[in-house]
Formats: sequence, structure tokens, C-alpha cells
Amino acid sequence: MISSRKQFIELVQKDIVPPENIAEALRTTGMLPDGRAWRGFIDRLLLWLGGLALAFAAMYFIAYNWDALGRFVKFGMAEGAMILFIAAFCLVADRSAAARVSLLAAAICLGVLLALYGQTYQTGADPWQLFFTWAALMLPWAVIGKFAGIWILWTAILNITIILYCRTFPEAFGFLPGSRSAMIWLIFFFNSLVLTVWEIVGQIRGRPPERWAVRLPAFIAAAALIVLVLQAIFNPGNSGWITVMVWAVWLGVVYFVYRKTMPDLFMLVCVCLSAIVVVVGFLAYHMPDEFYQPGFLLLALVVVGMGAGAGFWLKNVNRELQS
Amino acid sequence: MNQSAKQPADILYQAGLAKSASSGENIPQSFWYVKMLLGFSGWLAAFLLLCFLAPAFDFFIENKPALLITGGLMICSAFGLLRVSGNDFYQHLALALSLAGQALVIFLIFDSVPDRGVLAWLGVFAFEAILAAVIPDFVHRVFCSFVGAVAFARMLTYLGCPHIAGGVLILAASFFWLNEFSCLLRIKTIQAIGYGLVLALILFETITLLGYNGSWSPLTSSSPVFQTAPWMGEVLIAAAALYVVLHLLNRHKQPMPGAVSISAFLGTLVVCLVSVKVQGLTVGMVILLLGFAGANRVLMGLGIVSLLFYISSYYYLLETTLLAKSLTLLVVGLVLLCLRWLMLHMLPAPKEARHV
Repeated sequence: MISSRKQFIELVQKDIVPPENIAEALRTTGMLPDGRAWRGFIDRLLLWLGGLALAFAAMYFIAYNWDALGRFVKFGMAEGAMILFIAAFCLVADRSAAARVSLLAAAICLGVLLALYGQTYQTGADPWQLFFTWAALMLPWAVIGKFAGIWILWTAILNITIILYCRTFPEAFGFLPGSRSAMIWLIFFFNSLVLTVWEIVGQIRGRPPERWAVRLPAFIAAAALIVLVLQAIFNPGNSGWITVMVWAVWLGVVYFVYRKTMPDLFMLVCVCLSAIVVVVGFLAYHMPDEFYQPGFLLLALVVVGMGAGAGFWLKNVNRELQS
Repeated sequence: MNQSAKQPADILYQAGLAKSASSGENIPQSFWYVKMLLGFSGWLAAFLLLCFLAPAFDFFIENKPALLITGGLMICSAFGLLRVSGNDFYQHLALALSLAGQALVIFLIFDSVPDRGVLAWLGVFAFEAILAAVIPDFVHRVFCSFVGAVAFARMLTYLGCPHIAGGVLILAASFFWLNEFSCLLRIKTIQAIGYGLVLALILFETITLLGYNGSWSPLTSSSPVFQTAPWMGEVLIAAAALYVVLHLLNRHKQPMPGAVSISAFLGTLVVCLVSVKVQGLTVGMVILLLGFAGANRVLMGLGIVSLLFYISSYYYLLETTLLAKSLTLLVVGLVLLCLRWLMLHMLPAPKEARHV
């Protein structure tokens, strides 16, 4: 349905489909959704939004500073909500949207339950431990669920764990070069690992993962690496070359994999974006002082040139992929 | 992929709706993330160009005609480059030149208007609207529509009616997206303006939801001309949702009144009523509906992201307690699931067959 949209528009713009036939042509190609498609869409929309609203309602209810409720009532409600969603999942234990919504809502309720446990018994645990435990306990559900949404939630929780851990123990990686940026390094490595495992598992099982879900960790990893390289450029130190080496290797690997092995234009866009930002950062830092003002014009032209080059190359790759 | 690319032409030719069948020439799809890359590099280059011009700002501040001429020349050069050349390098250069030129002209507008209020924002809105209509580039049009819509929302703020800005933006966005296919020869222009409006709408709702009271916030107003209440904005957003539903029912030739039409209107009204306290929920749903109605994945993605963002940001709304928020979400969740149950059990499933 959606893939034919672009082709249809091009046909009309080239006057292959005359204007008086457009309305009928839209119906004939089935490009726009029909009654059945609308029914399916409204069904899923109401289910997902309703399920999420209930899960968030449970979360906010527990987060409210209750004085009148005893701890057992609070635990009962959090556990009750979780069990209710799990029961709903078991009742429709298939790959339907209802099953997915139930499992995702149960996973959210699990986080609520852990937060309530920490709050009630004042365990003294750091916030990162809560998120880590949450991720660890929901891992089997993610494995059972086998859908992108629950894995993205799991990945997001672990990213938050990394951030909280590094804030709690800022010196934890002090023995490593570039340890000031330990948090960004960890985020980069973790998201790269998620991306790699996801792709490999998808290849082994012969069922590629949903592209939007794979692109999310890829983009986070690319953004983290850009920050690291810019830090290395603007605060040069002994470990700067390691960062640049990692950046070059990462760029090369991503280019090779997503250009040659499993083509994906989004990943190549990440490569281009990374190259443009890093090259401009490098030139800006090494611009001679006497050339400072005209340097901006030069940098603007470099950006324009690299952007145009990237656009031209990506269009060619796109054309090649579609032919 | 090749086969699916040929399908529409062949199907339409067989149905007697196209002048010729597929020529075998593949029409390459363009992707939003490639356009984002082009937009990002244009924006970065414009910023660097402005840095290059920075030493001349003192001169520009003293000489407004020089500022106007420089900004105007940059925009005219961009227009010329885009008209004459389809080359990627010139396209980028034009984008950077135009964005930098626009910054100079907008600076001039604010410097020329004494109170920097309604008139200044009206000037920016008119300026950006003209550029969006005239300059023939998709990314440029998205940017101009976005800035123009933000200026329009600010103007409404200074007029004393910030609450209706979201409603006006969603009505405008709905109008453009629903009529996307009614003028296919100008579809790229309509799409670009539609994207700009939706992005401005998402930004506006986000700022309102987060309750920023800084100088940028649309909810701050110094000398209001009119007075509006928050419920007026909610009414406008509900009106936009009903307008979308009405248009879609007409598109699918549903009888009025009929079971499907009445159910759709009642369902939409109920959803608007229960979600009135959850800022952005109806807006997100309307964006998602518009995306699905036009088979537009990018718009659907924007709708899903904004919905997830609004529902999770609701936590930080300070005006209500967590208990009230929890009960509101409970009602919203139950009503949505009840509506789904009613739809599945009361409305018969349509039996029309898909063509492609």
C-alpha cells in the first residue's frame, strides 16, 4: 500500500494518469486504506493507546504519595495490575497486538513494582540497581514476546542504567584512557553490541528484525561516537588517537556491512552525518588564527560540498538498490 | 522491489485510467532521513555563513538598508540557484544562503518594529509564507512553513489567545494533509507545508505541556488584545478531529447519517472528551490518523513518537496531582478499550477486497 504511494504521485506528475482519473485511480490501486484497513488500524490504535494508558495509570497511582494506604495494599495493587496483564497475555498467547500490549504493560508494571519495593523498604540501593534489576527480570519476557517494542523498552532501560551507574561512580573507569567520557563510551559500546546481536540473530533465524528498531541503537551509537570524537578533537590528549581509530573502524565496518552485505540507506546516512560533523570539527579546530574569519566561509563551503556529495552518493546508492 | 514499483502504472493502464503502462523505468523512492541530512548540512552551513558575516553586524545595525539588501540578495541568489540548477551542490549552497539571508531579514524585522510584538511576528509569518510559496525546494519549504507556523503561534500569543494556536495549527495541518491528493501537480508543495505545520504543532504542544514560562513560551503574553480560555483550544482541537473524520467518511462515501458515520463521530467526540486533560493526546491521534489516511509512514511515525512523548511527559505536569493524572489515564484507557470492544462487536467488518 505505502510503497506504491511514491510511484503513484510520480505517475500523476508525469501526466501518465490524467487529473480527471485521479480519484478513481486512487481507489483502483488501493494505495489509500480501504474500510478493512481502517478497521484494523483503529483496532490497533485503540488497543495500544488503551493498554499504555492503563499501564501509565498504574504507574502514576503507585507513584502518588499515599498516606492512607498500607504497604500491602500498594503491593497488592502493583502486583495485581502486573498479574492482570500477564493473565491477559496468557489468554491471547499468540503474536497478536493484544498479546504484545499485555506483555509491554506487564513489563512497565514490573518497573513500578520494583520502584515501590525500593521506596517502601528503603533498601539503600542506588537507582541504577533498580533499572538493572528491572532489565534483568524482564529479559525472559522480551525473549518470549519477540517483538520490537519490548526490546526497545529493554534497551532504553539498560541505557538509563548506564547513565545512572556512571553518575553514581564517576571514577569507576578511571584506569582507562579517556575515562572522563566513560558514560558515552559505555553507551556507544552497548548500543553497538545491541545492533550487532540483533542483526546476527536476525540473520541466523532468517527473519530480519524490524528496521526502525535496529536503527534506533545504531543512531544512538553514532551520536555517542560523534560526541567522543569531537571531545578528542577539541580536548586533545594522549588517548585521542584511540577515539579516532575507533571512529574510523566503526565507520568502515558500518559502511561495509550496510553497503555491501545488508544494504540500509539509513545507516549510510549515519556514516555521512558522522563524517561531515567530524571533518568540520577537525578543520575548525586546526584553522590558523589569522585565517579565523574567512575560515567560517571555507567551513560553510566544506559543509555544502560534503552535504551535496553525500546527497549525490546516497541518491545513487538508492537508485542502485531499487534497480 | 522492481516488480512492485511497476505495479501502479500497469494496474491503472489495464483499468483504462493511465495513458501508458509501466515503461520499465524505475522511480527511485526518496527517504526522509536523506532529506534530514540535507536539511542538517544546510542549517550548519547557514550558521557558519552567519559567523562569517558576524563582524559586519555592527555595520548592519547602523545601516538597515544594507541589512535588507544583503539578506534579500542572499535569498534571491538562493532562488536563482534553485530555479536554474538541479545540481546537489548548488541546491545545498542555495539552502545555506537562503537560511542565512532569512536570519538577516528576520533580525531587520525585529529591529524595525518598536515593541517586537504582534507586528514583528506577523511580519515574520508573512515573510516565511511568501518564501514557502515561492522558493522551489522541498527542504526549504518545510523549514519556511515551520518557522512561519511558529511565528503565527507567537503572534496569537501577543494577541492574547495562545490557547487557540494549537487548534489553529492542527486545523491547517489537517486541511493540507487531507487535500494532499486533490492537487497532485502541486503535491510536493502541499506535503512540505504539511510537514512544517505538523513539526511546529508538535513543538508548540511540547512547550505548552512542559509549561516553560520563559520568554520563548507561547503562553507568555505582554499586552493581550483578546482573551481566550484553555477550553477554546480544546474545542478547536476537537473540531479538527471531527473535520478529519468527516472528510474521511466523505472520502469513503459513507452514508450520512449511517451506522458507521454516527459511530465514528460519537467515538471521536468521546475520545476528545476523555483525553481533554491529557495534553497532546488528541493532537497525536489526529497526526496518526492523517498519516494513515494518506499512507504516509513519516507522518505516522511523527504521530506515534509525539503520542508516546505526550503520554510519558504528562507525569511532569505540575498543575495536577499524580492521583488525578492516574485516574484520568485510567478513564482514558478504559474508554479506549471499551470503544474497541464496541467497534469489534457492534460494527460489521467491511467485505471490500483490496486491489493491490
